[in-house]
Amino acid sequence: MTEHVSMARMNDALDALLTAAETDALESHILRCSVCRDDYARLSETVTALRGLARSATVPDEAWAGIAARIGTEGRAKTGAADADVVLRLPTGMAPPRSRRLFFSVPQLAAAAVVVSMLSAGTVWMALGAPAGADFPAAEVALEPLGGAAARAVSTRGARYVEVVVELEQILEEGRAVLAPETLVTIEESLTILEAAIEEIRSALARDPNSDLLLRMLANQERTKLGVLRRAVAAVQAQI
Amino acid sequence: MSSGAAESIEFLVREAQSGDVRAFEMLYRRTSDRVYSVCLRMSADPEQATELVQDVFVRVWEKLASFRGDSQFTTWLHRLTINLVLQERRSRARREAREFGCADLDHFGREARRSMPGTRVDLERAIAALPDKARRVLVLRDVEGYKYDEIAQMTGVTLGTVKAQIHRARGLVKEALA
Repeated sequence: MTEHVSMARMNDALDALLTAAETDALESHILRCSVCRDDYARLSETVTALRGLARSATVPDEAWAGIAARIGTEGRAKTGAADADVVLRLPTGMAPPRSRRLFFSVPQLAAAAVVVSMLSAGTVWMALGAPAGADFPAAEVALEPLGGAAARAVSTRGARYVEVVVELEQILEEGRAVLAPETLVTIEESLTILEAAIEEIRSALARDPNSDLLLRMLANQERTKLGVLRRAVAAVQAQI
Repeated sequence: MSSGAAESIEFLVREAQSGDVRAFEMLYRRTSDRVYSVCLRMSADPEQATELVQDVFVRVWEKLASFRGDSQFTTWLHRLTINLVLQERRSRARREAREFGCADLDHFGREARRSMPGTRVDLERAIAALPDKARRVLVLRDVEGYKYDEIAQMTGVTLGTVKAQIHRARGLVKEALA
């Protein structure tokens, strides 16, 4: 072999497709020819590097939410931990889109959680019967961005909010026996969904803490949860 | 179903086949990283790769009942992933509609660094910059380890064409790394 070795022949050698005689001839040539030796070494390094690449890549968090929405009526929304206990359910009777390709950005995911939770809260409103003049909770979901200060103001109720929620949850817990089982299930499912939505928004806020839209969404969801709890407690107290 | 990482893939498959979405999610969490790496490298587009992962697992959910366990689930999943990626035509349409420029490569490089810590980003970028067909067959051969005749069968082109595409792709990557 006096001419340079072709790249095809070098590739065949790296793929172990040459006969023993052909391999010997190639090795013999590259020992004598520095051009082919360099070419072969570089090609060999490239192929070795390609074959050594990792075959695993961390899939973006939001991918599962799109799958869950497409495969059925319920799915678990990942919120960071691999086995987080947050369940994102669509209300009964709400068919999932089956053929649409879904890919959610963080704000979209938070917004989707809000929509699901509002539908759920509406179910509670219907189950308990809204008093005359009461606002359906969806009326609270006006998502126009607020100014920064205003947005932060609505989310600074932290301690008082937690205190009230805990108090209402305690009353509901003590009075659950007086509620009809199907009503109780509706309330508990809705609260689970609302908490998932709140968690989703908090997770989004952790990544984008200055988002006025997210702050407003969080405030609305907390208010809606409070509304559901108050309605549930009122229903309990009406039975006592 | 008890939770935890100790559940075997086979167990999760059986539970998911009976309609258990939680088992299916656990199956997804156990296997999606492998699927994403194939989709990411073959598409060279992080958004499209995520969409492909979603498509793959929706397809798995739909076809799971027909999986009889004749092969390993992971082998079945891998083959299904590659078939779906190869069927994907939107990538070509998207690429034909735009130049795959430095910004795209930078975007891809950032995603490679995030999703595959420790990987050689220069090598990943060189693969991503290849023409679509060349990139796909190169990934199938040198990263995923398929034989030439298997790739020819998967892609529906002749063995000679596959070899030529892979040789050319290797040459381009070699030059990019020089």
